[in-house]
Amino acid sequence: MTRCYLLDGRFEEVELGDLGAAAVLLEERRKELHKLDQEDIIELLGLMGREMIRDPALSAIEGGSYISMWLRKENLRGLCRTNYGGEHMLDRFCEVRPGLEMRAQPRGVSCHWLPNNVATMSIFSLLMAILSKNASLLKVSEVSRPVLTAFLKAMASLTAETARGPVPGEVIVRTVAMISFDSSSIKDNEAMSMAADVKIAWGSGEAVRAVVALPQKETCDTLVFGPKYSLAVFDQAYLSRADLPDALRRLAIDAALFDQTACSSPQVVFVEKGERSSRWFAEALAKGFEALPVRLRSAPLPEPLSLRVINARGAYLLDESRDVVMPKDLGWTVLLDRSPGLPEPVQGRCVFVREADDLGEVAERITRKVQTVAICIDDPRKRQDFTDKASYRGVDRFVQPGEMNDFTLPWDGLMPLGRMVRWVTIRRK
Amino acid sequence: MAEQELERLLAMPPYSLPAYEKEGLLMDLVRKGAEKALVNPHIRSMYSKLGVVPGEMASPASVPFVPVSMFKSFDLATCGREEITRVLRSSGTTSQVPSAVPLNKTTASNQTKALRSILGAYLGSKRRTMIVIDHPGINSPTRELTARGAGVRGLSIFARDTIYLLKEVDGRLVLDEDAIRTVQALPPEQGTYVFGFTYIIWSVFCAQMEEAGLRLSLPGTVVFHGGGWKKLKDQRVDRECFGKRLSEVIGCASQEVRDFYGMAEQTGLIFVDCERGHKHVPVFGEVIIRDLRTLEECPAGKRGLIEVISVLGDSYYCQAVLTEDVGTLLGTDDCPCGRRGRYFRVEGRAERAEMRGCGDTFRER
Repeated sequence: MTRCYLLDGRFEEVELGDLGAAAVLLEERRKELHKLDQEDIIELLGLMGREMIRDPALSAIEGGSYISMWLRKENLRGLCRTNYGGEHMLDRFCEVRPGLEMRAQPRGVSCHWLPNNVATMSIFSLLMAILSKNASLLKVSEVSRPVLTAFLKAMASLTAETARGPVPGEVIVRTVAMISFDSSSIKDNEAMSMAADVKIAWGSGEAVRAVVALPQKETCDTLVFGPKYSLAVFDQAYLSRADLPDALRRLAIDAALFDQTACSSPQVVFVEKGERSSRWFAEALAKGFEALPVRLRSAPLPEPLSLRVINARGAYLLDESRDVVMPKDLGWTVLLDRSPGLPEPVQGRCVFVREADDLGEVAERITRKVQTVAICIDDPRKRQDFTDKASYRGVDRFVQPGEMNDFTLPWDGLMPLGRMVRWVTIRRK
Repeated sequence: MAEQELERLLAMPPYSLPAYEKEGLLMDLVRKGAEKALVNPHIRSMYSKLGVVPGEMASPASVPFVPVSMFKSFDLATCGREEITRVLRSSGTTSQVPSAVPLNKTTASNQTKALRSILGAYLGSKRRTMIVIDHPGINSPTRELTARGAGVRGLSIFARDTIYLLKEVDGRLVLDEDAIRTVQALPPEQGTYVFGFTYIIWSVFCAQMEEAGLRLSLPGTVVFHGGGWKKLKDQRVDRECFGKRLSEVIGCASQEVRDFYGMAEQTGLIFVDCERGHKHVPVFGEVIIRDLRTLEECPAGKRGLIEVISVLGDSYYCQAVLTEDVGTLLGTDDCPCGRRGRYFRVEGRAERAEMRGCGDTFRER
């Protein structure tokens, strides 16, 4: 049974008998969105960003202030430029070289299987659809529904005044439907998949594999944001920097956000072997954790995560060859060992620290599952060597500590906006 | 010296000491046991990393705990390999990997004495006929015991003779009707007690007895059942409902249907329901409820992880085992049933779940 929470601008919980009919309605409503210039949409989203700070209900959303920053007009313009390769590609045909014009046309109805863990990502998934002028059918969870509802209700109440006239938020909200159904229902999943012109699948390996395997239109494209793993690397030169404590405080924030369950959360830190030991580093990182705001440092963990952390601590306390730095409570945990390779994540503000004889060896162990690396290598030659090798093997992003969870495009090695449109050409003599 | 102190505790009525008297006696033994446990390199590693000196541990909450799952992956023996007479395996329900608990003669003897002390508080000193709601195969004389087999052996201390009410047919548990008839024919003055696993009693014994229209009449019996409520909670069966159904089937007073909480890693130390349905801690152990966020000891009324402190183990680290069960301390020394010491409630397994989200794994699948 499919429940619907938003359709045609109405926030009402109803049973939805026919998903196909909803898709037809979205297809109709997206015509209005298509009439808007990209800049109109950016103006409206910029206004929404400011509203997120002003409205207490929205600023209370986890990551709300970050979303607000992300919605700054300059950021949105930059993202569109990077993804579309030009300013107005989504609005009209533009000459890309003599004799060739190109434009982007939205694919149509985008269907989103949203992540269960990080509600913020659900908003970003929706924003990508809006920035590519697609309608959206969102399969929401108990985690994402309240956040998306608050966000979209606020958007429906806004009107941006632009040089081309007023742009009501309702135009966008009418192109969005929120639904839910039992994830194991093959019938409902297939119906949603068949309604899609582009599918966006977020979540665990099992979740995204299931979405990929669903039947779909021959013209439908699928964007997969599946399970990923992230880490940080430090060379000895970086450990001598005066701003190291600040970098470690920022890295601790990266680990503390989203209970470390996001694909961009650092799970392990590799420290180049040298004068400063991994134990020294772990104690410095501990200070970074202790400097976190209380709401991050001491946020209660979900019960399963608490058990995992308790068991990981137990194993590292009992094993003579391993070590642990931790407070008495479950605020954070740093696990030290000398094993090669990448450890299975524990999550719950629990970071592994591993010493590496050579950071090049760490790069050799990178796979396509590694998404983000906080790169703290001061030696330019070593840095270039690492980024070349690690990106060849799979890393999608190199960032500074504190930026790991920033939602930047490309993401997971994809230019999502570019994939959510069709590229159309006109060749002239 | 420590042996004499333990003998003293084991000899006294198990619920006779008020908390202020008990803690001193117990902590003396815990400190000595922990000191001895440092012979194990893993335990030594843990104490060293935590900077804890056994002789300076002031209270049960200050004793370093081992999470119960560590028995699956670490050898926590604190005696020579040659001393180990038996390795007790847990059921391994959580991860399929069973715990391994090494027992020597001293540990086994302490556990037996502890069980005698606890059960004696409910059964008196006279031996009785033990009626087991299970099949005899679970107690086959193999070297490695399962938790079900260990339960039967442990509770058989008061058994004059034993009758198993179930049998195994093609891997299925069914009523042994000959055994049922034997029990039905027992003279009324025959003292009995009953033991079984909660889920088997409910889903096999009660169901098949009712289906066959059979009843027992054991008005003076005491029923001990353990093994947890998870499967029954899923079926919305509570303690009251369980007691009513079972007491009707076997013809006993429903307040004599007593659930107990225990685990393979702390055999000998079981926590039996009193008439109020509260689980009581005997003098040779302690229970701490730890807050899931701070890991500090919770006050009465606050839910947390159950930790079991014991002084019975001579062959492995039993001094503090943190379980994956949640419970609530209900009070100390003031249960209306009159028993002294702490009493608590078990609320079941802590929530466990597969990792979710996009950051879930490194393994290639």
